[in-house]
Amino acid sequence: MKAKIAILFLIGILYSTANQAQQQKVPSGYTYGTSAIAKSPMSLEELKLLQQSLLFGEDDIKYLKMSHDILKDQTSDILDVWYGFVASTPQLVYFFGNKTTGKPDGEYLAMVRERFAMWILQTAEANYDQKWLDYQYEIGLRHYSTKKNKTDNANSVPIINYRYIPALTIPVTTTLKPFLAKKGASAEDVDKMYNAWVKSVLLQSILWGQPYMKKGEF
Amino acid sequence: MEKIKGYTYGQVGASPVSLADLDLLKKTVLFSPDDEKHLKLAGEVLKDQTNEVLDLWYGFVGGNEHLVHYFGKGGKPDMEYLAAVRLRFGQWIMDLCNKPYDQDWLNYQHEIALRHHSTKKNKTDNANAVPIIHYRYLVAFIFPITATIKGFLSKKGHETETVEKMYAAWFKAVTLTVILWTYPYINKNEF
Repeated sequence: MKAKIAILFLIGILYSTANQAQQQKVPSGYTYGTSAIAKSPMSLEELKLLQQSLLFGEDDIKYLKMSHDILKDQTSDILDVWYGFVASTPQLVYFFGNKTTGKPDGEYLAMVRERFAMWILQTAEANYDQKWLDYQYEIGLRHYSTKKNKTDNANSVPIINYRYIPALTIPVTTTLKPFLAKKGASAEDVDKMYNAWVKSVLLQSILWGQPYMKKGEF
Repeated sequence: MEKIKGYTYGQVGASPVSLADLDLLKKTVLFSPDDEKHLKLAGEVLKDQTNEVLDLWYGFVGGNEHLVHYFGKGGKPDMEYLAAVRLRFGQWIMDLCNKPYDQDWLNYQHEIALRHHSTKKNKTDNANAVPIIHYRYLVAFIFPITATIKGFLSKKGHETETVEKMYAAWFKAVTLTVILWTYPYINKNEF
């Protein structure tokens, strides 16, 4: 009985300290922090230098975390805007198209959307450790021919061309700004959260680019 | 105007990226005629400040060992190389703001790309430096060269809203440009 209580207690602690993104219903194919994820070829030391080059510092972590509370109940609205943008941009919706018919694959889009919501929260949690770094590599592979379509068993085009990955930094961050301003933060704080987001999204798009690079040139 | 050594705008090979692809990329970064207008204005604002802008950027590079690394070999920066690049960098600021983004512009972005990549790095200035600037720092640089420009954009008495618009246009233009510079680094057919 005591042991049972102790185990329940332990589970309770583990559950409550697990990061918040993980606490929500885990979407299909969301394998953050699991053994299904390979190690990133980039080291944490290299990540630090890259962050330094982006002027990404402690203050940005603080403002990303601040954005977490502001964004956590707005992810669906944000995704409506982002999906609206993709849907109205044929060169982007193409990457979600059925390989045979060319029509957008609704199921594929819906599955990605759930993980996309987790991505918003994970970015805002700003716990950029080894697990996070490894998962960025996984996300890169899922845009790339190595793993695209596999997670959702989609019958879509085999790769997202690299150039659209960093390009999306702008629509993603520009459209996010009004959501950051929706919960009464000061204009100065909104600006700082926005800047932290720009840096983080740019950082991630750089990491996602890794599989596309010629050997030794990343 | 004095001729800048190694500045060969309008005299380079064709870009592998088509104008049609450039147009789609511009749409993706939300680049509009309004941005073009505000870039031109930014050009006016920045034209007599390029030296100060470059002082700041060079200060940033100089203060980061892992960045200054690309301008030398064995830990020793090639000062002549840094100086030669600086003149073209100043011209790049003006071109980013003033040139039409046409075939000549597209071609020159590819030339700049090759000069960061092992294909042509060091050749223009006969520099004694490492053979390539790694991709990750090329894209990372978008942020410092964007964030630091705002102070300069606000120095000529424009309203906050106009400064913000110039800044947004600059951010889009730099992102667009740097994406084009990554072309030689990417596996065939994956750009």
